[in-house]
Amino acid sequence: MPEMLPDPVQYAVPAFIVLILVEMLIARRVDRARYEPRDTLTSLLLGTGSTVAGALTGSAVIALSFWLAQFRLFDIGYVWWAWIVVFLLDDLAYYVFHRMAHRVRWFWASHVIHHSSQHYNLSTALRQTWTGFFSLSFAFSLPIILIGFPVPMLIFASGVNLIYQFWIHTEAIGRMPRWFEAVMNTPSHHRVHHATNPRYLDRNYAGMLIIWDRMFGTYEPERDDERPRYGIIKNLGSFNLLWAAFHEWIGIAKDLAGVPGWRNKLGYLFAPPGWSQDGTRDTSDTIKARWLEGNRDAPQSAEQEPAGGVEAEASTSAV
Amino acid sequence: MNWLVLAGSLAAVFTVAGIAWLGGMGGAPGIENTDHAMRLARDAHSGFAPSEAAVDSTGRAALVQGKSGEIVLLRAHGARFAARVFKAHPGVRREGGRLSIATGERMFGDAVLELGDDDAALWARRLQGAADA
Repeated sequence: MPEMLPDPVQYAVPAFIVLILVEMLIARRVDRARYEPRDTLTSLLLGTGSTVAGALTGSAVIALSFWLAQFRLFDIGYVWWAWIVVFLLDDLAYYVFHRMAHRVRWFWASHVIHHSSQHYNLSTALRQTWTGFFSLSFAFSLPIILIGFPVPMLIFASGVNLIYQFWIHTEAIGRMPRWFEAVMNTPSHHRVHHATNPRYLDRNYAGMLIIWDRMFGTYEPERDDERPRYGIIKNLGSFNLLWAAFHEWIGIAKDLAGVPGWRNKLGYLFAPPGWSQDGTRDTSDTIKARWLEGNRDAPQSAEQEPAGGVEAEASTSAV
Repeated sequence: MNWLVLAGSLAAVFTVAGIAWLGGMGGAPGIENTDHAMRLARDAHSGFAPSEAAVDSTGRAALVQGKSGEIVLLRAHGARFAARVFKAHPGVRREGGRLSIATGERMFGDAVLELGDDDAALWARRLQGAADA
């Protein structure tokens, strides 16, 4: 196998631990409820399990990637501009995957683990899926290989993207400078993404760059008068590790077993999360529609923000 | 797989969680009053219009009825509250002022609320679908 670049994630892990402890110290002074020991334990064990799952399946993904590379359109080497382009394409691929992960139940079943905490802190960043390989989420990056970018370069870029997303999982940082908030994914943008407030549902899918959300109409700014409420629509109410890891897959299995007809079964697999053949459950769309119906006169989106706005200037102070 | 790395990771995980526990993180938030319960229920269940609530004497659980007849159970989940919406009638058992509610979800668990005799009787009837007294 060709030589791989170093894995940036494993070098970042010690920093992750230190930063979690720093954030915990801040939370102890500001709001102890930002951390809950059992939630932290569940999140970190999920992250450890995700690493194990990745170790077990990573070789297969890498092998597939190198096999696919033989069909590449171009031969792009390790030139300087290729690094920039691959970071951009990988981030765009992440946006597409992430949007599918919220809009297609099959991918949501893997991704929901990350959203299932009712807390938003750096340990939540490590609350990662065990079933990413099973759900084939790696497939979204494969077109980049077919274009001709080196596989090790893509894997390295993905690792950097992952590391970047660690620090945005915090309430300890308010807003970054406006120019930064305009381009990059930030704690503020990502708090919106993790929120279950109807206004914030299915918004801000960014990895590193918020520009994709701005381009494709999925951007929503955080409002100071509407604090995010974290978790999922139907919160687990349990710290059980295995339940957190598999509950949506179990839900899919129950729905498939309980409904007749292939059309309905495919709906429970690939329609948006919450879809049901009898319409008795809520999807993000029905929740948003109901909220919009009840809030006709309130600003609905970023485009309707009142003059003067609510975003602060440069603010990196602890919240 | 490097088993030593895995063991070290698990040690770090339990150490960090232990520090959170020793540092007194989380706490036990309480539902302050019926208004607070109704706010929590409205936030937890999109479109829910609360009309009446009863709060457990410890503040760690509450029942909120909506204008359309649905009942939301709020139950403490660590430092937060988790909610369940009862559209059908859950299993209910009343012992004086104590109401035990079977949510039917093994992972969520059942709920026990100390409401006092009168409220427990009232909410038991509501949960069982009977008319108000």
